[in-house]
Amino acid sequence: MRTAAARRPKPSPPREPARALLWGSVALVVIVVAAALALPARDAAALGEARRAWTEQGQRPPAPPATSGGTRELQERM
Amino acid sequence: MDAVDRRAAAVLGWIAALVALFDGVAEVAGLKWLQEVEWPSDLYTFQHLDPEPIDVAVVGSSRSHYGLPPSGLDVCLSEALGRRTRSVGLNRLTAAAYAQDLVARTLLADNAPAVLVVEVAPETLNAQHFELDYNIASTAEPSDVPECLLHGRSPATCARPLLRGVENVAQLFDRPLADNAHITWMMLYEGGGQYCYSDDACRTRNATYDEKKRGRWQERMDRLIPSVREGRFVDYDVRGGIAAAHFRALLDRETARGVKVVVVNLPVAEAYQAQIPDEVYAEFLAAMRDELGPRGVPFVDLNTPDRQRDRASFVDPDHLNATGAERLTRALCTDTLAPLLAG
Repeated sequence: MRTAAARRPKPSPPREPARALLWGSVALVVIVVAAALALPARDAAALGEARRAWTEQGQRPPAPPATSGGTRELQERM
Repeated sequence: MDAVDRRAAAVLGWIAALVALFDGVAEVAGLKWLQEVEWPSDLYTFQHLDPEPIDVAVVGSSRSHYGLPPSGLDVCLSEALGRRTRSVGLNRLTAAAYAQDLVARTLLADNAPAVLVVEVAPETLNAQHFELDYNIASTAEPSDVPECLLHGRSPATCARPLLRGVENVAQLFDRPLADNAHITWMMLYEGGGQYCYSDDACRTRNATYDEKKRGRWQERMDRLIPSVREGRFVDYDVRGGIAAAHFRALLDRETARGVKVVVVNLPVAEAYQAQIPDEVYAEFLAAMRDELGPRGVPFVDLNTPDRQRDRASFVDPDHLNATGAERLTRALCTDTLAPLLAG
């Protein structure tokens, strides 16, 4: 014979954690996409400014030292 | 379809949507030009610069990154023409004609150079180019997918332009180039390339770099040369593949819009040349004659026996060092580019 407790319908699992996960993921994607669009724009501004400083005012920073070039695997593919 | 199936389909749908989103973002932001390597050219920086008139643009691989540095061309061209010139090197890692065409098609679309130098080698048009899949995967646009499939390349390779957005975005945050500020500096102030010649600091830097690479010749003799023949020149076909198709597209598009195109065969050391089968080299030269002759495009063969024997001009068997590159750029400038630009 089944007890009264066993006859009661099982409660649904709480939905809040799943919803939080979903919105957290959406927020993360939005942040990554926004940054992926904003960073190149910021780079473009900085690079354009550096080049203008040289072409218009002759200001050019000294060359950084050359490194030895990529990972070993990539160097071998050169 | 039951609830579990619907849930699985929803998950797959979300993943596909995310991949498409990242791919679209990467394409719009030009993130594919970020390379996972500090050379050849910093194309990511180039695409962000305000358009300025370009006298000479070079498209090629690491061989022209080393052998035809824009700085060397500009020093010579400025002397010859009596004005400041601007050359740029738009080189891609292990570029076949496929990547060369896409680089020019995309990055020079709104800024046609007066002269376009196209680097070629026996490998460049080969349908079995040893890095053709990498060329397609890293450089193609989504609109290039059908052509890739029609040429019989693997679906996994052809689909990469639709799928590589996630890795391109990851590269943006990892910023491999941030640790290699010198290539950004080279693109900003010297037009790219491995070496520069505009002042004494450049020459010191060149010498330091070549000193660091002192062991590379022997290392490549041991590790690369024994596999060149089998790895690069078996089933040789320079007329029928997707690389040859893009070589023709590059020539036709650029000449149609008034760009003076010059095709240049760069020198390799005799140790490397000896690994190229004679019949392969003859077929390469014949294909150049057949493609360039009817189009009126000059072929400049700098891979002469005297240059091949000049061991002191090479950093390794198929890349020039600072001294070799300076001599070569001056020869190309004096004999070919300066007269073209003056005319």
